[in-house]
Amino acid sequence: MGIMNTQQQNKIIYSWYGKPTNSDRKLRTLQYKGIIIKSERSRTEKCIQLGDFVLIEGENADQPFVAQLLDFYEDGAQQKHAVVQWFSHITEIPQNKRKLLKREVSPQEVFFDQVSGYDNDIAVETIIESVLVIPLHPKEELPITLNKEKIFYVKQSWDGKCFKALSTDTFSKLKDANKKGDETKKVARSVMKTKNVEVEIESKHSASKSSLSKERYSQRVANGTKTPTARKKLQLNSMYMAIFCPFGFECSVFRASSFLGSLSSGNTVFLATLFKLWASRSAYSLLKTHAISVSYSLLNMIDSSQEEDFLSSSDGLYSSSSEEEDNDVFCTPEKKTKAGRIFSTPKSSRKPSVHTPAKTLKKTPLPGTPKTPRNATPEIPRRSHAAQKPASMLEEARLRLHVSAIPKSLPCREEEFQDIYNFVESKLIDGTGGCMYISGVPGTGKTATVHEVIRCLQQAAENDDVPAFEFIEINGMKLTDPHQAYVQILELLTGQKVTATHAATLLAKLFCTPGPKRKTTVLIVDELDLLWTRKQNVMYNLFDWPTQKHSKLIILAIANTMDLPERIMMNRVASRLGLTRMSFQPYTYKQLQQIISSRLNSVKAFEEDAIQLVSRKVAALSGDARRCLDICRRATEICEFASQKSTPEIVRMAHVTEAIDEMFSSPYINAIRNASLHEQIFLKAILAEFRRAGVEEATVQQVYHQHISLCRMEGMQSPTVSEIMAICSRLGACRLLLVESSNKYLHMRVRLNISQDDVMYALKDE
Amino acid sequence: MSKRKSKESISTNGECISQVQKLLRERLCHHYATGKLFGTEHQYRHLLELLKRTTVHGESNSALIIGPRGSGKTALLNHVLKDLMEIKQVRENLLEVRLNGLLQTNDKVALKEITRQLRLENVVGDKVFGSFAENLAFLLEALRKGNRTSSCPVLFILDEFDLFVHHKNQTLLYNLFDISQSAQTPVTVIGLTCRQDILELLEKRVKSRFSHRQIYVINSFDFKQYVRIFKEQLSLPAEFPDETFAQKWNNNVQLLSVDKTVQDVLQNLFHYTKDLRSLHLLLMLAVSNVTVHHPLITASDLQEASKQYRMDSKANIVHGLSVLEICLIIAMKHLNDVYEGEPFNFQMVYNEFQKFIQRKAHCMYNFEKPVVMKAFEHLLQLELVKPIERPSVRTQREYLLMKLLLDNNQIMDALQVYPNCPTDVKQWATSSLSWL
Repeated sequence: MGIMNTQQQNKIIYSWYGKPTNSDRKLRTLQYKGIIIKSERSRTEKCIQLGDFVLIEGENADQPFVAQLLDFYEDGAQQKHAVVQWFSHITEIPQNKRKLLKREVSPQEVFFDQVSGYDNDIAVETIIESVLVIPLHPKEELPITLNKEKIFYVKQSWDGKCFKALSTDTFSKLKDANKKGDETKKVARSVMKTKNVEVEIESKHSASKSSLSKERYSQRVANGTKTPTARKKLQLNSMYMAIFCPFGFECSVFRASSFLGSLSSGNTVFLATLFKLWASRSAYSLLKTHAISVSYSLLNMIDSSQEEDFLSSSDGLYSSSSEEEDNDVFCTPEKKTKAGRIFSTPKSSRKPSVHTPAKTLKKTPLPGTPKTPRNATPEIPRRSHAAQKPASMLEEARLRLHVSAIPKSLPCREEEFQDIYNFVESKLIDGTGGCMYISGVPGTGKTATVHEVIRCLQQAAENDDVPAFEFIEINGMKLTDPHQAYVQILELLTGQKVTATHAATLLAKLFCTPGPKRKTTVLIVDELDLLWTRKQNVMYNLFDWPTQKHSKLIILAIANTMDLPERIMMNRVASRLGLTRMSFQPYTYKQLQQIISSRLNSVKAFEEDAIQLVSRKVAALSGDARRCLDICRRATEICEFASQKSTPEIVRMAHVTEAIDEMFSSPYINAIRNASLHEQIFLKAILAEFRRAGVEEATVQQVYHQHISLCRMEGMQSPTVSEIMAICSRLGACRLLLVESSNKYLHMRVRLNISQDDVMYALKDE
Repeated sequence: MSKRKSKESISTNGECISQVQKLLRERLCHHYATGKLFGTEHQYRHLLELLKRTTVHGESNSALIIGPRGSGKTALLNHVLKDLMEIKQVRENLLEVRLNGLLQTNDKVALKEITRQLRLENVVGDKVFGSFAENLAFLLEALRKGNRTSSCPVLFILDEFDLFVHHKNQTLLYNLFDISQSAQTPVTVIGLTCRQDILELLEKRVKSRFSHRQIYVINSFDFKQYVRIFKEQLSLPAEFPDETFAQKWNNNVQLLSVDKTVQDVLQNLFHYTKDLRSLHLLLMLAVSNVTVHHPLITASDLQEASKQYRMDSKANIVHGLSVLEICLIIAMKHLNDVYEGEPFNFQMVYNEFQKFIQRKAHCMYNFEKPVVMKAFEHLLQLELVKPIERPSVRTQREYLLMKLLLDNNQIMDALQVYPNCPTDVKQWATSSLSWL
C-alpha cells in the first residue's frame, strides 16, 4: 500500500473538510475536524474525520500502522498535521516482550499503544485509508471475518513494558468511535453488530423525536429524489465492500440516519427488524441486555425534546469523554446539516467503492514484482564432526587470543566508550538526530567499541532506561558501489529490495517527512572513506538526514584518517558532519599488555615478560591490537611445537621473539641469500653498473656486460642473453628488481627494489 | 635360439621402456602431484598444523605462502592437503575454494566462482545473481550465519595472490580477511604468491586484518642435495614390475650422478637456477631420448639436453638469416659501436652497407635498395630490430629510428657457427671500421 501511495503521491490531494473549528493565535494553528482525500487517478474522494481509525504509512510498506485520529490542525507553515493515538501490531513489539502475552496473536489483533516517546504528531499525507478497530473483552475470541484486511481488534494495551487489559474508559471510547459505522456494513457483516446498532438506534430516535432532527429529516425526505439513488449506490457499495473493503468508513452518521429515515416512516418497524437481526446474531447475552437497556434509555430520553439533556445523559451512559465530533453532530445539528449533506451525497458515498477496487487491482500485481525471494538465505553446510574443545592450556589461550573472540569488556577504551555512549544516549533521549565521526588507525578498536556501545544501549533499552531504537550497520568495504549504501540501509530498515536510486528517494522521504511512530535509528557507517563519490552525494545525504527535524537518525561514522572531513569532503558535506569527532589513538604498550592479560584472564599461558615484549614491539610499530594478538597466537603455536615431547610449557621470551621475527623480518635478505649463483652475480653486476654509470638505473645490456666480466673473473661459464633475460625476469617477479615490460628485450631498464646496502650486506656474508 | 632370445628381450625391454617413459614423464610433468618435498619440512609442519586447527577446532586463520617461481609453493600446499585428507575428520569437514588471480580477474567473477564452488547457487535457484552487489551481500550473509563450532570450515586458496590485490578497493580480500577475524563461519585464507613485497601492496585496513603469517618457501638446498634430488627424480621405484631392469636403471643413474660431465651439466644448471622445474625440464629432454635401442640414459644425453635447454633464442634466429641480412646486422653493429648505442635508421644502415660493397664488391652482389629494404623489413618482422617509436604516416620508412635487439657477443657467436659465411663478411664483422 505504501508503495502504491508513493507512486500516486502527486496525484492525491489532501484538503481540509469544513472550516477551522478552533484557532490558536499563539501557535498559529488552525484546528479542523476532518480531511478530504481526493485521488485524481480514480477521481474519488473520501472524508476522514476525527475519531476515525486509519492506516498510516510506515517505513515498511507491507505493514502500515494503525492509529486513531485525535486532532487535525494546520500549522503556521500551512503544513497539515494530525495527532493520533497509536495502535501496535504484534510485530512492532520487541521479540522478547511478546512472550509476556502467553498466547498466539492473530495479525488482526492490535494493541492500544501507551508507549511514551512515540511522536504522535504526523503529517496527514501519510494517512492511507480508514479501517475499523473493534475493542473486545480479554476473554472474547476474535470473530472470524470475511475480509481480514481492514478490520482490527484490540483487547489489550501495551505500554512498552507489559500488556494490560483495556480500561473501561478506553474501551468505551473505542466503542464510541465505532458507532459511526454504516448500517449497510452491518448488514453485510456480522461482527460489529452491537455497538453500531446502538448508534443507529440512537441517531434514528433522535432524528424521529427531536424537532431539530425532524427538520433535518424532513429536509432529507424532501430531497428524496436523491436518496433512493444514494441508497442504491450504498447497496452497490456494500457489495463492493464485501469483496474488497467491507469496512470503508466514509459513510457518516448523517447518511446512515438519513438513510434510515428515508427507508421507512415507521421507525419502530425498522427498529424491530434491526433488533431481531442483531439479537439473532449476538452470542453475548450480556451485551444484548446492555444494548437493550441502552436503547430503552435512549427511547426514554429522546422523549424529552431537549437535545442537551440527551447529550449529557448519553455522555453519562457512555462513561463520558465521547468524541467531540459526535457532540458536534448531535448538539449543533443546524450548522452541521449542510456538512452532513455533503457527506451523504451519493458522490461521497460512491468514492470508497470506486476507490477501493482501483486500489486492490493495483495492489495485486505489485507484491510479486519487485521482491526478490527473501527465502534466498543460504548457509554454509554444517560440519559433520563437532569442533574439538581446546584440550590444553595453550589451545585455550589461543582461542581467547583470536581476534574474533569477543571479550567481556573492552579494556583501555573506557573513555571513548563513555563519550560515544553519552552521545548516543542523549540523542536517543532527546529523540533527535546527530552525527559523530570516529577516526583511528586500523586495529585500535573503533568498530569494537561502537558495537559495545550499541550492545549496552540495547540492554538499556530492554530495561527501559532509554527509548527503544533500531540499529543498523553498513560497511563501505562490503559495498560494491557507494550508492549501494542506500539499498542496504533501506533493506535493513524495512526489508524492501529496490534499486539504488529508488532506495535513495524512499529513504529521503522516510527521514525528511515527519515520520509516524518511528523509533530512533542508530546507523553505523564503517569505512566511511569508501563512500566517496565524485559528487559526494552519498555522504551528503547520509549527513544531511540527521539534521532533518523529524529524521531521528543518529549516525556514527567510522574511518581511518583523522582529517578525512577536511581532506576529501566538500565543505557542505563536512559542515553537515559537524564537529562531534573522536579519534582513537593507537594503543600504548601498557594498554596492549592489559588487553592481552584481560583476554587471557586466568589462563596462565604466558610469561609476564613475554607479554610485555610483544606489547612494546607492536606499540612501537603500529599500536594495532590485531597484530598484537596475532603474534601471541603464533607464539603459542611455536611454543607448542617446541615442547611437543616434553611437559607442557608456557610461552616464553624465546617463543615470542621467534614469532616477532617471523612476522616482521624483511624477506629480501633471505631471498637473496638463497638465490642461485648467477642470480647473485646478476645483482652484483647491477651494483657494479650503478657504480660505473652513477645512475640507479641500467639497461639489461649494460648489466649483461658487467655480468660477463664478473663471470670471467670468477672463471665461470658466462650465461647466454636468453638466460640473463630469464634471470632478470625471475628477480623481477620476486620484486627484488623493478623491471620494465619485457618487449624491449636488451634495452629493458632495471632498478633495484631494495637499497644497495641491503644487497651488499646479503651478498657479502656468504 | 639366441636370435629369438634377443627378440624376446627386446620386446620385454620395449615394455619396460614404455613403462619407464610413462612413469618418469608423469613424475616430471606433474611434478607437484607426486613429487616429494625437498627442504621444506618446517614449512610443511607449520601449514599442516594451521589447516588441522582450522578443520578440527574451527579456528579462522590467514596465511601467505611466499617464494620465487618454481620453489614449490603449490607443491607444498597440495602435499599438505593430500596428507590432511587422509584424516577422516578432516576429509568430511573441509570445503575448499580455489581461486586463481589469472582466472578471477575481478571480484565479480571471483564471487561467482566462490558461490559455485561452495555449491550455494543451487540453494537459490538461478534467479538471484542479478548484480554484483546482490552477490556480495548474499555471500557475506551466508558466511555470517555460521559460527565457529557448528559450521563447516572453508579453505580459500588464492593462487597468484598478488593479482587479487589490484581488484577495486580490495573488496574481496578485505571481506575474506574480515571473516577470518570475526566470529563467523571459520575460514582459512591461504594466498600463494612469488612477490616478496606483497604486504606492502595490501591496503592498510586489509593488512591489519591479515594475520601476518608468512610462510617462505625458498630453495635452500646446496649442490649435494641437488644431485640427490636428481638421483631421486630419475630412480625407478621398488614396485617397478621388472626388477632386473629397475636395478640396471638405478645403477646407471647412480653412475651418472658421479660422472664428471653430468656433474658439470648439473652444476651449470644449479648455478643458473635452483628452480626444480628447470631440472625436470632437462631430465624430460634426456628421458625422451630413451628407446629400446638406447635403453639407458647416458652422460651425453644429458649434455645434449643441456645444450638444447640453454640455447640462445635470438642467436638461433640469426643462424637462419641470409647473407644480406647478416650483412645488415653487421652494419648495424658497427653503427652501434660508432654512435654508442644511439638509434639508427634504414638509410644509415644502407649507407654503411654500401661502403662495404664498394670496398669488397667482388664477393658480394650489389643488391638494389628495394631488395635491401625488403631484407631490413624481414629483420624487423623477426624482431631483431625494433623501432623506438610507432611508425606514423608522416615519417618515411627509411628514416624510422630503430634499435638493434642483439648484443655484439650474440652476433659474433652466431657468425662463428654460421654455415658458408663469406670470409670478407666475417672480417668485416670482427674488424672495426678503422680500415675504411
